[in-house]
Amino acid sequence: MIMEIARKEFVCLIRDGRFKWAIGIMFLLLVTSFVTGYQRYESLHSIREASQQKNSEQWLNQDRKNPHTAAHFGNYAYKPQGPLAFFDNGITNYAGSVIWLEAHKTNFAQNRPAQDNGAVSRFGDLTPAMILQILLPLLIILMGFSAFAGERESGTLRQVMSLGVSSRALLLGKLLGTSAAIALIIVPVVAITTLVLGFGLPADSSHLGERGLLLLGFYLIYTLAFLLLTLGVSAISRTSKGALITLISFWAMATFILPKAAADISKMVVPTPTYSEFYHLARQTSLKGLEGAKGLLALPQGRHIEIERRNLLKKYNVKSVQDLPIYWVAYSMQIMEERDYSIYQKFLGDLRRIFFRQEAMQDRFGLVSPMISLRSLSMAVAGTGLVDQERFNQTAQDFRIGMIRAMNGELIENTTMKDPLYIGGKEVFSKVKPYQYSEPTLSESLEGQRMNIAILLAWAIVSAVFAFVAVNRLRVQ
Amino acid sequence: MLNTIFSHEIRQLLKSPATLFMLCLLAVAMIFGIYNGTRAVERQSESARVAIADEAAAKQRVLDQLVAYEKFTASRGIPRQFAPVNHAPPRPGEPPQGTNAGAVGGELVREVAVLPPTGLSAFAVGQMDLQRNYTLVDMKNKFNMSDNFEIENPLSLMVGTFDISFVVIFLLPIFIIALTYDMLSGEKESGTLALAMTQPISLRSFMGAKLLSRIALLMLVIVVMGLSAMLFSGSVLGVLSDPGAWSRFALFLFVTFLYAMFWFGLGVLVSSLNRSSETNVTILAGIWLLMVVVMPALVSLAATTLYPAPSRMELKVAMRDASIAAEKQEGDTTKAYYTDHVEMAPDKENETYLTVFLARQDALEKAIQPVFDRFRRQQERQEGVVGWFQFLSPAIVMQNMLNEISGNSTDRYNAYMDGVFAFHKIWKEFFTPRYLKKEVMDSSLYDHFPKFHYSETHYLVIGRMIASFIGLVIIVIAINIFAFSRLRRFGVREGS
Repeated sequence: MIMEIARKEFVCLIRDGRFKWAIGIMFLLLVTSFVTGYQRYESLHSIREASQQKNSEQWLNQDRKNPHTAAHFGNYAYKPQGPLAFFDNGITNYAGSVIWLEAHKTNFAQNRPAQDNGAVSRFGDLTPAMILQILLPLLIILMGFSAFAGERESGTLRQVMSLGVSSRALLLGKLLGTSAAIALIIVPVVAITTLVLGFGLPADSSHLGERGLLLLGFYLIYTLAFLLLTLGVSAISRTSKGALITLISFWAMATFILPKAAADISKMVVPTPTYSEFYHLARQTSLKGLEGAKGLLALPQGRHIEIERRNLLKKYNVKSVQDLPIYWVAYSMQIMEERDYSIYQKFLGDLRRIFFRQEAMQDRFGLVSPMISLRSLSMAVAGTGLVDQERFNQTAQDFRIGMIRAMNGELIENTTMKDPLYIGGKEVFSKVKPYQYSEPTLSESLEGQRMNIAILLAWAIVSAVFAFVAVNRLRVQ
Repeated sequence: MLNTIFSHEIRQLLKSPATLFMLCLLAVAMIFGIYNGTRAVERQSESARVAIADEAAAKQRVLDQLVAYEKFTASRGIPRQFAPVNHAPPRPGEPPQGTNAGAVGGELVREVAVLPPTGLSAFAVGQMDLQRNYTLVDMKNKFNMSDNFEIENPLSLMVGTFDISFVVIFLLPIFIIALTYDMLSGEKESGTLALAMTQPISLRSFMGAKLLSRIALLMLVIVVMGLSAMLFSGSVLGVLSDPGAWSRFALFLFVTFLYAMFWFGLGVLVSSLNRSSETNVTILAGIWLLMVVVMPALVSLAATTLYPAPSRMELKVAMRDASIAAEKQEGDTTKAYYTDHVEMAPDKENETYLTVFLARQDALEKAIQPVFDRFRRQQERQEGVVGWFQFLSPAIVMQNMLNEISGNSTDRYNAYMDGVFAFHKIWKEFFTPRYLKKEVMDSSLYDHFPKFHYSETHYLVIGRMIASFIGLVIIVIAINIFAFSRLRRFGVREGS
């Protein structure tokens, strides 16, 4: 019985001219998004690799010079992307892609691609993820809104029920039939993704298979939740017009209004500091000392250096820095670098926590919009979310302090106040190993996502229960 | 007769809880929108205020040292001297850095060049959230300062702000669709259309009256809430007395009305197809999706595919190559070393090193200029593509205009940056000769440092949006004429 209902539903759907159009358009958009996503990923990937490579060459082949000046020349760290970025590019367009790592200064990752793309890109990119998150639910609604309400209006529901079909069979049949129609879209998507990931991409990512499967799982749960919800609403609505209006309102709420409102509310509750506030505070702290810190960090900058100076004089048992066997200027610069590193680590950490709290707050809106939960999960698994960006930022800052230590260390060891000249070349610069980004493991990617997984599953379960209850209480008139 | 239908429709609409709920939702969305927009502008202005205070304090420190030195020399009757560049604090009696124009204009004092928000900034955040509205100008190469990064959670940037422009571009059409989708089909399905048509009135007048009642209701909400929004953001940001703000506001109301008329016309057009209410909703929802989601994404794709912006990553590589080349030309590595750390240099040669440094900045600027110009050109070409393709979707047209009216468009930002670059030149011309002549700077000169003023060219603002405006007017008139002419062939009876 279930199969017969399913077949009827499926045939009705695919014979309907409107859905032929809808499915056709969806398919075209998906193909477009895949092709462009692939191109974008490939060009970005190759530019990134080439730039990072070139950066290392420039670092090594710079003129022979004082190591500290070399640190001023510095290095750039370029944000790499995992291969799944072609499917979901996440926050990539809105997060800095390059960090300049130089002596004395702690910089942010700059150059958001969105700056160069013009205002129209703010409507959102056409990516496979966006199509599946926003357009697919609408298609499901349009396919399923009249499943029960329409039959009731045309009077066929009474006939079907009079045959003694159980409501469970009716629901499952309709579910299967509509799913089969949806599968006409989903199956090619999965096939293309697998193909691209398997053969096409210059990929060096670990766990690609697992990540792909997880994505598939999450999107299927999301699709199922929308399907069940649509059928449930269709069953309880008096008219199919009512069902359609309810469902479309929910869809507009879930995919457009709530995500934006959530972002603004998260900023309202946890405000982001501005650039000038951030640096104002960090510089003041560097000058005056970090409150509540232990040791020299709590002291003003001048006293900090003075104490270090005295300790150094005592250690080497000399009267003046002029007599030290090491280079005091470089040593004092390194004291400052270490001091600032600790202070900026604290402030950057605070900022990171603000971002993550804002994200968690937005995720909570997943309770009213499954799209928000899916979006977060999709970005996390695709490696294009906040976790990945922050990991890039942190590893770049760690690289920076390593570079500075190495270069200032050269000066401290090899020169003195009386003979400060020291010129190094490749042999010295090569002590700084090229910047390498290590992407998070799958479990690290999913670490902050437990709530989203739970919410998404809850949506599917609640929708299923709702649909069954609604169909059980189905009235034929 | 028209009056009767009009007032009847208004009463009917106001009695429907669904309509009332929708209108309330629109009002709430606008309140939420203006609040978010105002916060965004405040945040930006606050950021600039902190920067201005920091830079003023830095300038004051330099000035204080200089004034003390001037008093000291005056009391002893000794001539003032030009200080060599030195990063260590001055010893008593020695000339401070404030006497050296190179040190002052090159690293100690910076001008905060602010792009002031317009009176209507809070209505459309536009591209404002991506970049700071101020630039720190000194004598370093100008590309150092063109990044203007502002901190924000990338997740929030991706989602965008829930501002008035979002309400107008995205939500307003939904409300209009809800108000118009069953204007005829609903009457027909309940059997009242044929009845109404027994009255001495044409279908088109009947439809016109129905449409007018809906337009009146919606515009009433828009005007009342828009005015409240203006009063709120205006009083918070202190721009209520600015006539420019009010003319921008009038422009905002007018283009919003035009945009609404597009969607009303579309509602009539779909009604004229004589399908069921459900089909109408499906078609209208599809068109909405096409206009505000799919088309913009495709247009953006077309623009970035036709004229891809050269990657900023490549720009960085080019900058470094230029830097290496400039360094090679200087030849002497010891010299290059001291350009970054003048305090380590033997005293006599100090000035030369700052000179070398400044010379290098100039060389860098010249080398990077072509790469930067390429960026600009691609960006302009992209905008050219968008300029043509925008007419595929009134939503893009609307975004263009709202960003322009609120003053948060890319074009205005670029015009501002051009102003900053021009000012950068003035700044350098002020300090460089004084530095090279080793002129001892006087404390009275500090009040006369160049100041940056952003001057808005109003005809340019109009010029940037005139094409969008005319295009939208044509689209709106065309769709309404077409829709109403189709109504002539509308079958009133059931089954027709």
